[in-house]
Amino acid sequence: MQILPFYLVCDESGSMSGDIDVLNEALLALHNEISTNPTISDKTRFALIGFSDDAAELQQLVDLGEVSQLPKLEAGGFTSFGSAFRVLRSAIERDVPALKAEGHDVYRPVVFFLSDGVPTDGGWEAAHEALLGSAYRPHIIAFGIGTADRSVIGHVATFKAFMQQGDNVKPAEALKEFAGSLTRSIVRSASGGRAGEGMSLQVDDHVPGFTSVSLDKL
Amino acid sequence: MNGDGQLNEEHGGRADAVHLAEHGAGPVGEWPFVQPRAVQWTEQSEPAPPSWPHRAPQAQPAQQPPQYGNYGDYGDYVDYTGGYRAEPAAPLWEPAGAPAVPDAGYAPPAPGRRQSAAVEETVPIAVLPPDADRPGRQPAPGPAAHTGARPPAYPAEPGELTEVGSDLFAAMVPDTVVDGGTVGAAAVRAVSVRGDSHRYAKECRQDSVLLVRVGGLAVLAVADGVGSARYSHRGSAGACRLLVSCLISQADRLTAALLAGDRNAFASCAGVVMGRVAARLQEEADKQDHAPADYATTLRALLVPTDPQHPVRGFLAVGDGGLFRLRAGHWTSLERSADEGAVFDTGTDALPVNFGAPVAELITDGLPGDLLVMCTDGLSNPLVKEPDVAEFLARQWGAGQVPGLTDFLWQTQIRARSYDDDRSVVCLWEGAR
Repeated sequence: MQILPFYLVCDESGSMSGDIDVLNEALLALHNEISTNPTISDKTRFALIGFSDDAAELQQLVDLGEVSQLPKLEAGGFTSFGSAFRVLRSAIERDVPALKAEGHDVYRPVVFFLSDGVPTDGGWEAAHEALLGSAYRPHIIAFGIGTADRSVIGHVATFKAFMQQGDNVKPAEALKEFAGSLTRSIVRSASGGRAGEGMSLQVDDHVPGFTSVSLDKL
Repeated sequence: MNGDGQLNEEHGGRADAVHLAEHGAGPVGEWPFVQPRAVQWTEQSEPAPPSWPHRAPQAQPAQQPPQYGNYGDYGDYVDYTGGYRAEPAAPLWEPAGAPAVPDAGYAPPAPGRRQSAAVEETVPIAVLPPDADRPGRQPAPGPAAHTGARPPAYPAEPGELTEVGSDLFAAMVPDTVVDGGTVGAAAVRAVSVRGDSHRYAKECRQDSVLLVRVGGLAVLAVADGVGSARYSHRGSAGACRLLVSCLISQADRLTAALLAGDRNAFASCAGVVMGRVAARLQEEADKQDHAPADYATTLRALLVPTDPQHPVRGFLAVGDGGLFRLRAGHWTSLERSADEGAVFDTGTDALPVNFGAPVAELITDGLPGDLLVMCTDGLSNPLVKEPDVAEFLARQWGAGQVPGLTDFLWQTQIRARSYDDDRSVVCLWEGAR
């Protein structure tokens, strides 16, 4: 089987408390869209990692057609990017070999990373670097909302990065657009930009409510 | 074990690797089908069916269809309804005389009996109760089998019929094409079946297949319309058709090159043909006011001399797909991989605009009993990447017998999750006749 794994890494820090329900509703819609579309459910796997003071795999990598619902995100605590990247790395380094051992063709994992603030832990860059040094180095698409730092978001991403547009866009609207963009990316990547020619990562060039962030150059 | 169970044994690959669908598992199987008791497929004790010309003078004038109004000799009438021979010994009609007809309207049909519009004013037609002592449905391939623990999430059969929209051509592309024939001492089977993803998206099949003979040369072609190209279904169909028409003037030269085993002559001639196909496909796009790139398609063909004494086969191709040999149960790819190190390189050469020199090779080391398999990537991908698919097809196709058309379709449809592209394949069994 050909499998494209998606990891959603989501900020659950206290500052998200006002908007976390919007995100939970959007995840419900995403689950519904993906689990009922065989083009996607046969080819993709989805995992959810939440982070605040520390990070946790709320949903291990799974065929969304096989779970009835996704766990809910709950806000509270600080914003430890380092924990998020460590948990993500260990999840990817466990999941990809497991899928390959089952005989599957595994595509490079795709990470959608969302934060509404600046990292509150020191040393997160080292964890980020270790993640990118992994044999299964993922593509990272990073989204910043609220008080997120543009340069930090640009540093986290390896594929594309987006920042919420000024104060005229509400975080709740931005979150809906974020989830919509994630869903579209999963659908388009699995359906094939060029159908029948394997999967290739498809991500919106422009996400409403967001501006594109140029990525760090190495 | 019923007939289905027996069938499963016959068609199964490794028991734990391939899962056979139940007969009647889908809506298609829910018809209240009543098997005419007289249908016999294998038993020798059954008297041979009389032929029409022999039988006809007794019951009706020769060369005329059965006279429904003339049922004076009921016992002699043979019901060929549905193509099955009915039981001559059984009473085929109600006892003499029409049934009592109520004053208002027709008699209701008896339970389990068929009624023909042609005779409903007189009597119900054939009475054929099921018989427990006779075999039930003749074993048929049944719904497609699957590998892996779970079948694909898609329905196994096509959904709602395509609506005629702005692209009439697309609406008229059949979901599935099955074809076959013989070439010299070889037997050919071909299928082009729409992939699950195109069925789900209500899009037409973008693959095409064509089998034809041009003089002393059989042309076996498959084409895979590039998914992102808007009119690639026209491209693939056009490429197959134009290949044949451009080959006509070159058939003698190509045949001579094949018979002489002259690769250079074959390649140069094949290059000319491919160039013409591309030019004419581009013209067709222009005529329709379509961009030529919207007709993007692969094209691969086997050219097989019809002379059974000549074992050389020609292969020409633009774009990806598969060319394999199954010999003694083992698969071998006959194509050199472009770059073993490439990870999922999804780029592909395509007619009519984006291609370099076509692949043109001679296959000179064939043996009787070989199977040559040429296919689009919808089949080559699962064949290469899923060992269970490769083993299943090796067992099905390498059993020493050329499958019938329906069996061949069933075999080609082996399902594997995440492989949802159109599949087209041509199989050539060498020395099968």
